[in-house]
Parts: sequence; C-alpha cells; structure tokens
Amino acid sequence: MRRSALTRYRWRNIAASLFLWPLLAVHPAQASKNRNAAILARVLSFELSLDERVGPSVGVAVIYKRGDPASEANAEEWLQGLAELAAVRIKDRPFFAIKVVYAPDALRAAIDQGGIDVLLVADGLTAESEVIAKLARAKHVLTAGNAASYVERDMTLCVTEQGGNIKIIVNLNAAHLEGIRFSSSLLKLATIIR
Amino acid sequence: MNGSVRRLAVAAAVLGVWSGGVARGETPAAPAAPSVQVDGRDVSKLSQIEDATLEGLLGLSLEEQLGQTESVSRSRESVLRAPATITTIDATQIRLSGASTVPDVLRFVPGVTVVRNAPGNYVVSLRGTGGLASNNVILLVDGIPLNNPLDGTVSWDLVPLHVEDIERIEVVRGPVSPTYGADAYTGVINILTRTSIGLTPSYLVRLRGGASPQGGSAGSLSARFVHMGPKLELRTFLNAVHDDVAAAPANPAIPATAPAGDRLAAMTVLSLKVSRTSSVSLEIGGVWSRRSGMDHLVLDSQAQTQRLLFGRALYELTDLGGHAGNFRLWAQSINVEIRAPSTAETGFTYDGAGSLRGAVGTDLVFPLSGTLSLQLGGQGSIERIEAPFVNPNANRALRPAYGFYAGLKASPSRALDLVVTGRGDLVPIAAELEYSYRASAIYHRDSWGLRLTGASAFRTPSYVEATGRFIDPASQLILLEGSDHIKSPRNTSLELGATFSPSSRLTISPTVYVSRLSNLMVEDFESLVRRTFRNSTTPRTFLGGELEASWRIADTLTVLPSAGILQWLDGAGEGDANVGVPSQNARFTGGLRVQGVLGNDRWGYGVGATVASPRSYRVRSGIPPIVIASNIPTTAFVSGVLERQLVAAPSLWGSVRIIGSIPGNAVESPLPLATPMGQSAILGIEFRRD
Amino acid sequence: MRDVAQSGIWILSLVWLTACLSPLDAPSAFSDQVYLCGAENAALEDAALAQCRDTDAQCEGVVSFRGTVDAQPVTVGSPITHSGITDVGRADGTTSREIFVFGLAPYFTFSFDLPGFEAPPGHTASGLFVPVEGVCSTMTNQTPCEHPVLNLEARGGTYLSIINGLVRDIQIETADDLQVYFTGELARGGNVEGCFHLLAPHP
Repeated sequence: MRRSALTRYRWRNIAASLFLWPLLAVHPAQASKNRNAAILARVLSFELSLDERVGPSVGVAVIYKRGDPASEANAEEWLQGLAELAAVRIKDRPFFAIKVVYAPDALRAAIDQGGIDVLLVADGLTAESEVIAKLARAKHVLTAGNAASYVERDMTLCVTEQGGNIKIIVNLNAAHLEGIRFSSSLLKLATIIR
Repeated sequence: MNGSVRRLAVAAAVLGVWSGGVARGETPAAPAAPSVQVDGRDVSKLSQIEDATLEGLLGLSLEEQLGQTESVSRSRESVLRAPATITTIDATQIRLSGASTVPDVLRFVPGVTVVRNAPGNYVVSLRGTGGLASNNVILLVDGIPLNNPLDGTVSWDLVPLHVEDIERIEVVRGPVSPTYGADAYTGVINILTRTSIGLTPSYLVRLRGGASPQGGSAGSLSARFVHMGPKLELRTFLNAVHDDVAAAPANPAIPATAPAGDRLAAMTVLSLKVSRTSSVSLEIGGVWSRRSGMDHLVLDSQAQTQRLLFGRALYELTDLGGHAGNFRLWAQSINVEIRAPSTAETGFTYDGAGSLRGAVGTDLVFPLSGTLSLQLGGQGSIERIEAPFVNPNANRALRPAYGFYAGLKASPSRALDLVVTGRGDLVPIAAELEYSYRASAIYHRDSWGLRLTGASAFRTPSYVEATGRFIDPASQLILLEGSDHIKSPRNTSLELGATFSPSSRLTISPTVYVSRLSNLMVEDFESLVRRTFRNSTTPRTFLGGELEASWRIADTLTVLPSAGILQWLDGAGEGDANVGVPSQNARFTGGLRVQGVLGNDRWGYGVGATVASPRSYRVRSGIPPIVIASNIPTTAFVSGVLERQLVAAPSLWGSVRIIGSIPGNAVESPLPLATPMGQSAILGIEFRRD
Repeated sequence: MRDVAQSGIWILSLVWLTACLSPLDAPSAFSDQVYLCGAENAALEDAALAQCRDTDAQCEGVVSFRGTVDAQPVTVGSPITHSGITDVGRADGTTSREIFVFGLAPYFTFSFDLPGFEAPPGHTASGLFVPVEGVCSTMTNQTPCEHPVLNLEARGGTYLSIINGLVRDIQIETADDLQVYFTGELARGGNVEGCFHLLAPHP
C-alpha cells in the first residue's frame, strides 16, 4: 500500500517549515514601532521649548533594563525605528538615537556629555520611572515612555497603541516640571493628563 | 534511498546553522518592515519631519480629523456623519481672522450674509434669506438659544463673550427645526465657550484699542478664568466693549450719527462630574448693551439699550445601554428687556419691550442595537411678553409651547448611516400642530464622505408679526398690525454635500442644495385701511452652492478659501417680503483667508478678504413706512492681524489688527441712516497663562 | 438610568396632555368700533352725540360706516373731528353747497364729501340747510349732480389714498342738524353703508 505524499515527506516538510519560518514571518511590531518613532519625532517638532534647551542636534536615549530581554527587545525596536529616520531633521536639527542601559550615572553622563535631550523609556522600568523623571526635571530633558502607565505617573509623553489606533498621551504637569511646552496644535490631537 | 538520505542530511545541516544562529542571539535577516508613508511619501526620505503631518502619521481618518459636534442633532456625533452642512471655526481661526465681533468672523462662511447697519448692529442671514429682518437664524451659546422671544431677532451685541473667548463656532445650514424646534428653519449658529487644553487654572486679560479714519474709536477690556479639574470645571468670562467706528452715515448731508455700540457682559459655566457617567452643569450670563436700534421697523438711529439674562441647568447621563447612549434633562430661561429713551421727533422704537421664556426639556439617545439607535426628546416652555406695541389682548399673557421629536439612526454597514427625524410643535401663535422633518443618507469612507439630506422646517411667527400693534405717536393711527391668522414661514430643502481629503493637508467640502421658501412674511404697507404682517403667496425657489476648503501647506501656513452662489429659479415675486427677495441677496460671495503661526508659536498672522456681489432693495418699510430704495454695489471686507509674544514668562502678547471695508465709506445696509463699515486699526495687549 | 429617562418623558407627556393651549387672540381694532346707524342703533348714536356735545375736544357730530374697503371688513364709529362747508355760486344766482366731514378710524383718517346741496331761496350763508327737492340721490337718473356724490378719502401713515365712491342712496333728514344716510359701492372695490350726523352750529 502506498503512503500518501504528506506522510511520506512529513519530516522533510516539518524541517523545511522550521527553516523557512523566519524568512516568511512579517514583523508587525517593527512596522508599528517605525511609525511610532516617526510620530515621536514629529511630536518633538511641536515642542515650543526645543530651541531653548537643545544644542545643534536632538539626542534621544532609549533606556532599557539590564538583564530583561523584553525590555532590551523593546528598546531595540525603538532604536531601529528611530534609525530609519536618521536622515530626517527636526526643526532643522539632525537627530540621533542611542541605546542606554538604565543606571542613574550613565543617564546623567549621557545628558551632560552625550548631548541627550530626550529620555525614551522602554518596558520594564516601572520601578525606576520616578528616579528617571526626577533626573529629567533637574536637567530639563523630555521623558517619554513606551506605555501609558509611565505617563500617568511621572513622564511627559507616550506614543502607544490603544484599540487599534495610535495615541499620543501628554502629561502637562510633568511637562511643566521638565520645562517643556507644547504647541496647541499638538495638544488638540493628544490625550491630556493634568 | 540515497536521495532521501541526502535530502535529510541537507535539511539537518541547514537546521543546525539556523539554530546556532538563534543561540547566538541573531535572527536570520527578516524582510525590511514596510516604510512609513504619509500622503504617498516615505517619511524616512523627507528632509524635515515637519513635511509629514501628524494627522497623517497617526493615520487619522477624515472623520477623526473633522472632530465631533453636538450642534446638528443635539447629541454627540462626528462632523462627517452629521446629517447637515456644518462649518466649524476653531479658536485659532477666530484669533487669526483679525475679527473683533462674531458677525465679522461669520463673513468668511459660505452661505452666510452679514450686513452691518451701525456700530454693534448687524443682520446675519443664511442661504437666500438675506433681507431686512434678523429673525431667520438661531443664535446659540453652548446650545442655549439667545434669540429675543418677542420677535425672534438675534442681537449680535448680546453675545456674552469676547470673540476670542470662543472655543468654536459651529454654523449649521439648512432646515434644522427637527432638532431645535419652532424657529430653526434656515440654520443655527452655535457658539461654544472656551475650554482649556493647556495648563489649569488658566487665565487671560486683554486690552484692545484703536481708531478709524472714518471717525470714531473702538476698544475692549476682557478677561477669562478657566479651571478644568478632574471633577469640577469652572469657566468665567467678562467682556466690556466700546465701538463707535464710522458711526456717521456716509452721506454728509445726513446729520444723524448712530450711537456707539457699547456693552458689558459676564458669563459663568460650572460643571461637576458626579460620577463616571453623570454630570451636572450650570451656565448663567448677562449682557447690558447699548447701540443703534435701527432695523426694518425702526428707521431712526436712536440709541436702544438691551439687558439680557439667561441661564441653564443641565443634567447629563452618558453610557446608557452600554454603548454611547445619552440622556439629558435641562431647564433654561431667558429674559430680554429693551429701553429706548427716544430723542427722535418721529418714528417708532422698541422702548418698553420685555420678554421672558422658561423651558424644560429632555433629550435621549438610546442604542437599540449595535446598528440602530433611537433619539427622543421634548420640551415645554412658557413665554410672557410685554410691550407697548403689542395688541392689548395678547400682552402680558402666559403662553405655553411644546415640542416633541423622535429620530432613528441606522447604520446598516460601517460606511452608511441613515437618519430620519420628525418633530411636532404646538406654539402659541399657530393654533395647530406644526411639523418638521429631516431624512439623511450619509456614506463615508476613510478619506471622503457624501451626504444627501431632505428636510422641511418652519419658523413660528413672532409675537410682533402676529400680535403687534404699532401706533404713530403723533396721529395715534395704527400704522402696522399683526395678524393672528398668520402662517409659519417654511423652508423645504434638498441638499447634497461632500467632504473629501485628498491628503492629510487638504480638505474640500462642496455642497449643492435646492431650497423652497414659502409663506414668507410681508410687511404690507400697501393696504389702505389696515396694514398688517401677512404671508406672501409666492414661494421662492432657488439653487445654491457652497464650497469651502482648508489647505495646510505647512505648519506655518494655512489657506482657507470659501465661495457661495445663489441662482433663483422662479420670478421676482412680491418685493415687500422682508427676507428671501432675490435682488436683496448677493448672487455670489467669496472669501479667502491665509493664516499661520511662526517662530515656536511666538508669532501669529492672518489676513482675509471677502467679497459679495451687488444687491438692490426697493421695499416699503419702517414705521411710519417709507420707500427704501438702495443699490449696494460689490462690497469687499478685509481683516488681518499680526501678533507677537513679547514676554515669555509671564506670557505677554501684543497685536495689531486691521479691519474694515474697501472702500472705507462703503455702506452694506439699505436702511436710510445706515453707517459705513469703516476701517479701523486696533492695538492689543494680552496677558495670559494657559 | 432607564427609569430616569422614562420618568422624564412621562413628565413631559403629562404636561402636554394636561395643559391647554390658549388660542392667541389679537383681533383687529375694528372690533372695538361701534356702528351707530340705523334704528336699532339709535340709542348708541344718541349716546355718542351726547358725548360729543359734552366734550371739550373738537367734535361736530358723529360719523359711522361699515362694509368692505380694500378687501378688509371695516366698522367705524367716530366723532366728526371737523367739518367744512364750501359754497359755489352759480351763474343763475343759486348756490351749490359742498359739505365735508372728517373722522378718525383706528388705521386711517377719512372724510366724506357731499356736494350738490341747493340753497333754498333766500338762504343765508350761515347754518346748515337741507334741499327740499332735487337732491342727488342716484347716479342713474338725470340729475344736476356732476360729481360722485360721496367721496371716501382715507389717509394712513404718511401717504394718501383716495377711494372715489359711487354712493347711490342718500337720505337726508331735515332737522336743524344734518343727517345723511348712504350706501353704495366703491370705485376701488368694496362697499359701505353708513351715516353721519352733523350738529347744527350753535350761535
């Protein structure tokens, strides 16, 4: 009795599928992170205080938690998204993005010597968000978080997906403490937290 | 067997390489994520991020970009899916228009006709109802009607806010009586009071002053305070205005000068969020105003003072039925008193007129299913009017009025809405049930929408038209009288409107409509023995078109063109109707505004111009009546502003505004003592925290 | 929440059903006027005349008419605010007298013009006189009247309109006072009937 083609080549098919899967998989997460990165850059162009507090370029530090693969993966997604925009200027300024492991000293150094103007906090740093926010307020840098929970607590800005739509959330009190002012053109498109 | 072993070995080798790579933390090269596109352009290839709109990056549909309104159906819905033509003018557009009064802002809306008789004295009309009377449109402030209950007229000097304390003006055109009841037969203009999206509490004090080469000066002092807390919202507005720009008639042979338009206004809104789904609010306001009393019955320029008091208490419940249901219960009242200490030798004034209306009502939106919702509402009101020019039988009586409406909204698919609304009103003047209705089909996609609406609505005759009795003080003869058998003027209209957005920077909204006005009011001074208000027996039918667009060329530059056209389909009809006479309406109106903010929002600029084609009037009007024969040539109106933040903290702004007509002595009103629009330059200084 | 909504609607329905809508009543000012002519209204006419004699304001009698003028139902009862008499001498030595009476309606002032009174022989130029015979009473007969026998002229507001009336029947009663009854059609359409009672001037 002949076996069917499926059972005859069963193991070959399974092996082929395993080999081909990474080639065939779409990366929806990265696609949306590219868009979120573009939105973040656009939001920065609406910041009225940008000219006063940044130098010749706008620096974004993507902060992640050491030893947390999910946090680092999230940071990597953001970095890739911002890297896509490497040739695009914000308010006539080039901008760059780097990945930084969370450590208060490292952050301080990045701001003081690395030309960092925006702290973008990846997932997994909820416990550390207060310290990050405090530093940002002292140094007048903008804090942005990957999740809405960040901006509900301490941080100024969040670009996140909610219900299939991308939302911008702005915490005006945090912005005020960080010395950040946004144009009303942005605020009318954002969800405001006071 | 050799072949299968070979194939297995290859597969195993590849697997090994692949899994080794995974162990090292490298994934095989994934295909590149699709690039972010806005308006067909790859964002990563732009030179400036500002070249991509935020709306495009957020992927906002046209419906989301146009926002929401409550002005069409008295319940919250998106502007794109609202069953009527609506123009929204936001606070930035108002500020950068350079206008200092609401009528001057409205000049730029297609389908709106604005006529200035004297300082502070305007007539605004919609879609072919231009003429001498000013009781054909409803003025709302936060949904509270401010028309005088006595004669339904709108006094634009009784708007209780400075024009820049307005959050948004929504101009709804077409018969909207099914929602608003017995007067909204050409449309409503809803003025929404300023909220705050910035810091809270926010406050602002502004001082403006300037002069005119045609003589006269204008100035204002106003303030607002806004607190938007999580549970409590308090907003207070104060405004004082003086305006006697171009108060003298253009003809130097006429010595009369109109009085200045002065006013004092105050308004407060208090809202309390009782629970997650319920809130109560209280709005009260008052205006004292003095201006020329000139209108189609008062032909003299004598001063007239008005006092307006209004208030509304509102209870609102949201989230009924689990999704988007809404219940409102409200009570509102309005009181208007007019005094005209007359120094004129002849003529009629509204001196001694007072009106009072109290109303309670309810509006309910209840979802029956995911695709069907029911809207029900009703109101009852009591009115009392008292005036020396009203029939003694009708004076001082308490008169009730009732209205009830029901509507059904079906969304058989995500892209299609079908809305039907019907309403019945029992009003004191018409002794029978009056009806109005609207049926709409709205088809909408991501970047465009199409709307077909048929509606019929009426205006209840005013107390003046039904029970007025105007007596000449010299001869004691009754010069004009109301008629208690008078019928309600009616507007029946079919319109097709579209809104489309070829890119996130450009929105275009054309509308075409055909409208039939019937039972229009004639102030019949032809009769020998008894002159009354009566209904015209000739309906007027006309075609109209409106176009408006918004093109945001850059963050710093937005262009807003608009145009309107009217084509009358039947003959001239009787010339004495006080609105809706073809020759009294500009055949063509057009406007263009250019505005923007620069320099980190520290500079703002705007300039705009409108033009209206010629009109002519030949009508007997006034008490005592005279023949008003006037040709108004093409008139152009220009306004512009330049503003700059002088000091960042505390925030101090300076501005200069130019506003007026070209030429400066152009008169746009047919009334014999009307004054020119004039020109003025106004300087301003503003201190704000918001 | 549903209960609140339902009770709200019930309240409004009850208000609607229970309250009555009083009809708006704004009659024309003619409804306040009194017709003073005819035997049935004799008492009213007498009362009006008595008031006229007593008043300090100028009042020379009463005039009243009713009918349809300019498609409007009209009723007027008014004092005669003033009167006028014009005598025209004829070649044959006779005098033709024309009498005007003026009155006030709520909406207009008016006058009646009655030409063609023959002076009796030996008349004096004072007092009223009533022709014994030959009065123009109809337009169809051969009469010495060359003009319409009665003009109704109404002025309202600041402009003037004239209705030339062809009034056919005039009855003149002899008395010290001049009483005239008339009916007829108006040239611009409509018809009137009425009377006026002009008091004799007192020395």
